[in-house]
Amino acid sequence: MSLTATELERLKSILIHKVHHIKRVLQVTEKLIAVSDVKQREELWKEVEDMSAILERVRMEFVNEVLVFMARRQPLGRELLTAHILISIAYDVYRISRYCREIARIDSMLASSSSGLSTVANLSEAFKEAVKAIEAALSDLVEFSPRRTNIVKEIDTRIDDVYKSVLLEITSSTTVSRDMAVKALIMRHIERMVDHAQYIEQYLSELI
Amino acid sequence: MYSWRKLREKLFTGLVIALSLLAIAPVLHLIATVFVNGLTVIAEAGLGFFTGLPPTPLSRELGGIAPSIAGTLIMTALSLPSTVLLGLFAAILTTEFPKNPLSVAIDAVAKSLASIPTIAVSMIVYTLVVIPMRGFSALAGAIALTIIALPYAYTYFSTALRSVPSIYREAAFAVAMSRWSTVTRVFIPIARRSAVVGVLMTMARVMGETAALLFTAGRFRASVALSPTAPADSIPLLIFDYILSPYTIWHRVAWGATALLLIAYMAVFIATKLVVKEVKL
Amino acid sequence: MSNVSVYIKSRQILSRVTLKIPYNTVFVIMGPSGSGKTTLLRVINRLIDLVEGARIEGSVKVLGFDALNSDPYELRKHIGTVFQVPNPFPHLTIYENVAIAAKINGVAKSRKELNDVVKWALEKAMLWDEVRNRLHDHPHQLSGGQRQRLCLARALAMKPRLLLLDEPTANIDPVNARKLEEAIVSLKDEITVVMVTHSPHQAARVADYVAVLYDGSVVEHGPAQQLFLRPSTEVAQKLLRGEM
Repeated sequence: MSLTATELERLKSILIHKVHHIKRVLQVTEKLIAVSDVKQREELWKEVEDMSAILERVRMEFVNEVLVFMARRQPLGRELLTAHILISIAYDVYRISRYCREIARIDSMLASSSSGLSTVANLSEAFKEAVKAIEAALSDLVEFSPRRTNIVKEIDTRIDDVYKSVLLEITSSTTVSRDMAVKALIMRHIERMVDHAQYIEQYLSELI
Repeated sequence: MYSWRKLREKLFTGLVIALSLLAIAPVLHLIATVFVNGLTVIAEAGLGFFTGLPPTPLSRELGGIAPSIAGTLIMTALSLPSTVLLGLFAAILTTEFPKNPLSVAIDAVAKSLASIPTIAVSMIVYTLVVIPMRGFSALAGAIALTIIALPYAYTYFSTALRSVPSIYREAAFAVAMSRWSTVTRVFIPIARRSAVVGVLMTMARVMGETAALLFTAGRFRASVALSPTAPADSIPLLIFDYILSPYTIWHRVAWGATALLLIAYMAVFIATKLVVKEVKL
Repeated sequence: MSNVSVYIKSRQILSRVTLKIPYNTVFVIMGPSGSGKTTLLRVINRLIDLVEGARIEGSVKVLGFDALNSDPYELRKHIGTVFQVPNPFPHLTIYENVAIAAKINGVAKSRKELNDVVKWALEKAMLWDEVRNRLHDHPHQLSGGQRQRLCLARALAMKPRLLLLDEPTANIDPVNARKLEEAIVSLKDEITVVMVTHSPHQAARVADYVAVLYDGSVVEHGPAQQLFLRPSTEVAQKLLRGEM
């Protein structure tokens, strides 16, 4: 294997390693949406916050490494495409963790006055669906092949429908309850997370 | 160890210098002998050496070698242009079209012509030119000199042209030069130093040839002959005849003539070095 | 070029090469050493005639000429060539090197026109600023890169419609190589440029169209953007990776 190919494999493996961290972030955020105990939720906020910060730093270092690879090896053809895709997917993975962090932040602001997001109707189910889509995309990332594109597309359509219905409910009322507002905010983040899972599938398809 | 290595180096350098001096010593000795013996004669004779007629065997005056100088100049003037032109054109032909049957033939002829003894050339020209003309002449001498010098001229010019890297041929063709333009505007100018040296070497060959003129020129020293169809003399012929004679005065004239010939050669070669700039590739 | 095959003393160098080179573009022919790139260029400008035992089949149309059946000297008046080894005429000055190309091709009719053409050609070759005060120097006083740009100026002084470049930066330093590449790219509005290179990165920097030559055959060709991001053959990909 040439030096360029070896370097590229190394960078892929770094990105794939991030998958474990993002899966953990998703798990924690899923738990956060489901529980109502404030103390538990406090621990979960901190965990999501810390892991997101790590993922952000890791992303910046990773992008730097890919840029150095491009400057040194000056890849062309598939290697150039792959380098571009690695940077793009790293960004998508980072954004997914950012949305989890935003969800944790919203929950932390609700802490003193309510039982958290667990009381908002159907939010937990929607998030579980989103996690399915993201995990499918991440599995494809590990294999570096877009095998589960259809699954992600289907879930994306469903989440889009749920988000649209929430927006419709808000726009058709003259007053908006606090739960409704929170649901709209969270659904927006969930919808964006699944979008990023879609982007990961699209980038992987470009390599074919 | 260190001092033995240095010593060995110095010994080797010394050996190389000594052997080099040994190699050029005969040439230096030759030049020195000619100048010592010849320049004194020229100094004694003064300008008359160049304008006067050769002395009689018992004469006290040194006289001069004007007929020989004139004869050499005329025969050189007659044979050099034709030798150079023919040699150059033959070299151009064989360089540009090496696989052509004519080029192959020219190459073969040039090599074999060079090995013919010069005295045989003299006899051939005697048969083909002197007898039909019913007399010796500068023209016959010039023809003999041309035949002898031609292979050398061809070889010099051929080597000069072949020494030009072929990348310049491609460059010339790339700017849409024709074959002829390529030779005249690129190859010959680039090889100009070698070409001029070729001309001079041809001239040296022509000026210094003796055997070729034995049965052709005529050895006429009674006066200065300017007509190409009249018998003539040449400096090498005069040296040949006078050195073999028993007369001291003629020996001295021969030394003077030798010194003059050597000065002429050296002047020409020094002039080449100064006038013709080498083309730096 | 249509179905062009070239044999040199019974060895096949090019095999049924078919290419269409668009006007006013930089067309790069890429390939490993020995793939026949230089031979392909020499077919276009008929310098292949200088190669002993060369035989060409197929048809080549260049700027309206049937290249294989036209007078090569007439053909070459419209084609400028720059070779791998810089070869400015050593016996001519910098000015004369450029001027001779213009004079031979009747590009300039007067002294003033000649001066203008020489200046224009040296400017296009990005050499004018470096030699404007030393036009009467000889090429051996220039660096290798400057000599190659002088060769480019000489080719341009012919006002050719087609410029052929055979690995023009192979023997010069990287700084001069970049200058030469910039000069080449700036020419395409006026001239069609065909360049041969074995460096995929150089091709990536200058090419509008690329043809990949391997073992005497064209394995892939098309717009540069397409080839450099999504080559469709393994040979092209290996070449881009530098594995050939």
